[in-house]
Amino acid sequence: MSLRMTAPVRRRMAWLVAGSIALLAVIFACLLPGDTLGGAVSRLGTVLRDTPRNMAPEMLAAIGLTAIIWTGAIDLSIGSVLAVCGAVFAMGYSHQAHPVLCFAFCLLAAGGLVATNGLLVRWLGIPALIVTLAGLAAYRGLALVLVNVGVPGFDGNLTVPEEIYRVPGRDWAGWILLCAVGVAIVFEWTCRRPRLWLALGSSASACRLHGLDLPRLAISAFLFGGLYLGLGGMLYVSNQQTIDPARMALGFELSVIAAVVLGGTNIFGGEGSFLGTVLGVLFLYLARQALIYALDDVHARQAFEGALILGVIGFDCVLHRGEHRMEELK
Amino acid sequence: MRALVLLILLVLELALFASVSGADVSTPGGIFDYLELKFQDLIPGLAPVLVLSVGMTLVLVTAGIDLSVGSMLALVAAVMSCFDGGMSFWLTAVPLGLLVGVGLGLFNGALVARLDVPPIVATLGTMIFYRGLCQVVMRDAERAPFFDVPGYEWLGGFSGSLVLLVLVVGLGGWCWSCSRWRRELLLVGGNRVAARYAGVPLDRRLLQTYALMGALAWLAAICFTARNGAVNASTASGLELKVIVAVVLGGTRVEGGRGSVLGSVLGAFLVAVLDDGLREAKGWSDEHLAFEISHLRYLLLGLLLVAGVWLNTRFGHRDST
Repeated sequence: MSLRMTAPVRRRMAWLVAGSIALLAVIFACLLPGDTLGGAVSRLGTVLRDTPRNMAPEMLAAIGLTAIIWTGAIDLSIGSVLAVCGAVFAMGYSHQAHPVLCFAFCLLAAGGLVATNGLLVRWLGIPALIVTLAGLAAYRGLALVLVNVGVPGFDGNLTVPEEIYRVPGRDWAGWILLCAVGVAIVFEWTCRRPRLWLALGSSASACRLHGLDLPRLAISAFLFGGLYLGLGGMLYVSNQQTIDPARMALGFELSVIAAVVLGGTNIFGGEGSFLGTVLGVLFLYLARQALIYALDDVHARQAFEGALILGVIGFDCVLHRGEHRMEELK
Repeated sequence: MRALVLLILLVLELALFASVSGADVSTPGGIFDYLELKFQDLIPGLAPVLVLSVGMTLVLVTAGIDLSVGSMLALVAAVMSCFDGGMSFWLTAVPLGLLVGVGLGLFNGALVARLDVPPIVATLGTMIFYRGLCQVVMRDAERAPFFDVPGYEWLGGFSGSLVLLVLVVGLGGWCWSCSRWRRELLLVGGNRVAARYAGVPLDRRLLQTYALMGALAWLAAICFTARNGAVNASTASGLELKVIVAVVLGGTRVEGGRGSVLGSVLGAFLVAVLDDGLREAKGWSDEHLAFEISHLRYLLLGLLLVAGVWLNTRFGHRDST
């Protein structure tokens, strides 16, 4: 494990663990004044019980994005990919397809689109930032066209009242998350492929000299990302009562990227860990919860969230500025 | 070559939408009238994007990026909207807006230059932070003191926007292309270590670039509020995407070291003509398509971006920076 994680990643993870514990303490302190000790503990338990379900889509998407970022690429289109998932789910539902088929559509749509991003990066030789920036706009448009063409009488949103269509997002989200996170961490610690992704992000020319097939490596990372985003998309869509592709998951990519970076993954590739990403998502989720309990002013919450992200990353960067400068000049 | 490709794409776009909208473009006079009307309509709405595109070009040239431009614009406009309309607005709100804009830009610059936070991460954080501050200032309200300010509305019209754009894009772009500062920024973006060895004051240049971006966000806020007259907490959400698409489409490398203000201006026009053309083609689409044509806007914007950048990578290597 220690071989796979660089010192900055381990340090960031230590920060996040300490920060998450501090945030839990803040939440508990906020619950205490209006309740007895037992009542506060019980309410804290409720907050913790709902945590896996609420953060499952973001965490799965973040794990998928981590693999992509390791290779030195990025995917800015994940919010729009979720909108396409919502659109195909709505199409399936409106044609009375079996729920399992609807969930499979979500998985395939997300996997297919993220893999398409990888293929476009390879075929066109354009940076991933550009391809996925284009995807951010294009996939949102695709989702809107799909629901307009494929859902009879669509008037901006579609309500899904049947509970059976919401089982994965409501009842199984925690278990699916647990399994997916476990698989990702075991994959990272035991398999060669994640190391090669990190190597690709660290130095593409060194990998080429070593004889590695770079395009295939990059596409495999996008496929992995697509699989995890597909799972996240399925949970996200099946947790919504109303499907509105125009507004669905708007800004989702930003909070996912923030969590990945917060988890110690280098945004330029070559460094990071899935466990760090998991802690990054958890920290951001707990921070949002703490702000809900600690701040009555709903308008100030976003400012505090931004300040918190900047504070953690800025403090970490300023501590290692000297090292970074020396590396740059070597 | 790159500018020529963009110009051809722009002409094709104009020709396509002219035929779809049913405008009479069979004679030179008809074409002239169509273009006159089109640009009179486009320029005031496009002014904020064009102004920000100039700043974003400079930022991208240094291998940076600024995702917080939309939030900066909104926050500056929100701060200015706290003042009452009237002549005193010019002496209080406008200079304070400039101070806020430059301050926000300097904060971004300090994060990137002084703390070594990667630009995409730093400005992602400040995008959320500034938008949050904007919500703190605005709450759920919408304020509209701008049309009560004497002479302010003129800036949102065709002639006012044109004057501002000529000053910023024309004069500013010309000064930039002749300056030593441009060469230093290109070196910073092209090879940071070489820039340091060459004696370029890297941190100062980065701080200046981001501060200028903040100042341009202030100018864009003036253009925006002078046209729309009101501001709320979600003003200019997603504007950063339009600006980045325009600049990248214009041939500026996201990796830094190459960029042109002229290309960014053409890129912004390409995006705006597409937007406007699809709005005009609504009548045609209602007859021929099973969905609203406005939904195609996002799809075409993405395709245009990929096509533009692909063409730039194919033909752009022949150009000098």
